[in-house]
Amino acid sequence: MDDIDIVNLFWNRDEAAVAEMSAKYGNFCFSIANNILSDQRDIEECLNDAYLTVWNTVPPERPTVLSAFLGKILRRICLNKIRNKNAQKRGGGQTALVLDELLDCVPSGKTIDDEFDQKELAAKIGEFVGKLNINDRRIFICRYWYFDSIADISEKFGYSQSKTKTTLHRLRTRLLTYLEKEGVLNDIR
Amino acid sequence: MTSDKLLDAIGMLDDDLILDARKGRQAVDIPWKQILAAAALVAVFSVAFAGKEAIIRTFHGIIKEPTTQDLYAGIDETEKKIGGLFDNEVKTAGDGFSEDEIKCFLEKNKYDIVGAIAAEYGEFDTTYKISTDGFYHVSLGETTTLLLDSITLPVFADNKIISCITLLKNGNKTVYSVTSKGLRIDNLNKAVSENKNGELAFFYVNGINEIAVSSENKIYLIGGTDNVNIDNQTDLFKNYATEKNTVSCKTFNSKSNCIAVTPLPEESVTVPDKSVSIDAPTEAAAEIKAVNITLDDILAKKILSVEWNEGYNLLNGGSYRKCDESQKMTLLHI
Repeated sequence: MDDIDIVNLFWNRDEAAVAEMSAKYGNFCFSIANNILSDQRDIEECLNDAYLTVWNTVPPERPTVLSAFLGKILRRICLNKIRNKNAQKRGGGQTALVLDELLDCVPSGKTIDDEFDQKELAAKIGEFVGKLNINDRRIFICRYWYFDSIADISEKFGYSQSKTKTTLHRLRTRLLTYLEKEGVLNDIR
Repeated sequence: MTSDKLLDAIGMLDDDLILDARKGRQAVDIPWKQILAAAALVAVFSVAFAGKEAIIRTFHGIIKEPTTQDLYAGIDETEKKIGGLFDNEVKTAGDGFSEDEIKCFLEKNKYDIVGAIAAEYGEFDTTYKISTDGFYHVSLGETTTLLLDSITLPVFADNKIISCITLLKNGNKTVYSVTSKGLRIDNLNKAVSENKNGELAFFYVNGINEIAVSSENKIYLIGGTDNVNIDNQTDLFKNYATEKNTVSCKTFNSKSNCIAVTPLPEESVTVPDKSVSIDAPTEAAAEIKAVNITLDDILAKKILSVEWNEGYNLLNGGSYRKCDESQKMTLLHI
């Protein structure tokens, strides 16, 4: 079933919509949740929450790319799950590593300017990512959007793990430079 | 947490980007035209002229301790397959090889060239490109980037180094090579005899040592930023030494030749009875150690020794800074 049909099911409040969505994107969702979380019960809970959120938001939303729409919701729910458990560093999956890595982009003594709300910051990062070459962009997103492990990225891109790590490090360094240049980062007062 | 903010912001990337990332690595189109131009450039041995004197700049060194990793076997296979080693425009090309020869050369060596670079710099993930700004950007590992105004790289064929690539920068802009002939070592005599008319010839002694025969029938031994002039004699590559300097080479025909000049003198030195004169360096005294590597050396994890020999070619972390004495590093050791 294609996305339009599934979305129509949601709009028709047909409960088969969830089953169809799960059948089509269950593996996709599981890979995201599994990267972020380690507890299988948490994963299952987040998947269900994500499906429910889609159910509650479609309508009025009418996503054109259902996978991305669902993936974003699931990702946010998974991260919130970890935050709620106050366990970023113990949270399992790739989350703690990813958070640590992203600290490279905001060195000590710096913080993200409060004037930048989430959307503006997202726009800046979108600009940055959009300027990367294709492979760098994909690697960046695989790591920091999908939370893919270094090993998985390396396999997917045919790189050595060393190469992948180096690429990610360079990308973070470039992101730091970009954020500083764009005035996103400020000194902590 | 700030990283949380970033993570959330990344989570809001466009749908298209998110889905696109799942496609994995994009196949690399090999830019044959540029590669051919680059190969034509590098297949001959480049020379920059300053007045009537040929000033030949070569290997400038490495700013990184070698890793303990396997220097060759671990080179990323996919990196080797890139082939598009030179991904920016090369301004001009030399005429040392025909197009067909270059194609053949590349077919045989494109992987190994990358491998050679990676091995030479002690990194698996070294990237290398010629930039139109006239520098050669060599990224080493995670943070170190070199901007070199010239660089010499070995070229492998049949598991042997058959020649070296020397790339030069002319001023700040132009990458170029001059008319020259790439010569095999066994063509030395022919090269000498054919090059009394002013044309330079270049060939290599089983490594990255360079030798140029000039119109004055001088042979220029190149070991770094400055020339070492040696009168043209058939036996001139016997061992030479000065009090302060060592210029040592065996015979041309030996494939175990090397050049060692450590350091270059502060002023010209003539070595009696050995017909060796060494020009005073025009810049900071260079330290050049023996440069002679083979693939076997690399495979055996013997590492070439070359010391950083100029004070200001290091670009680290994006800032151009001058090296002081303490920052000179011996990076590779045979």
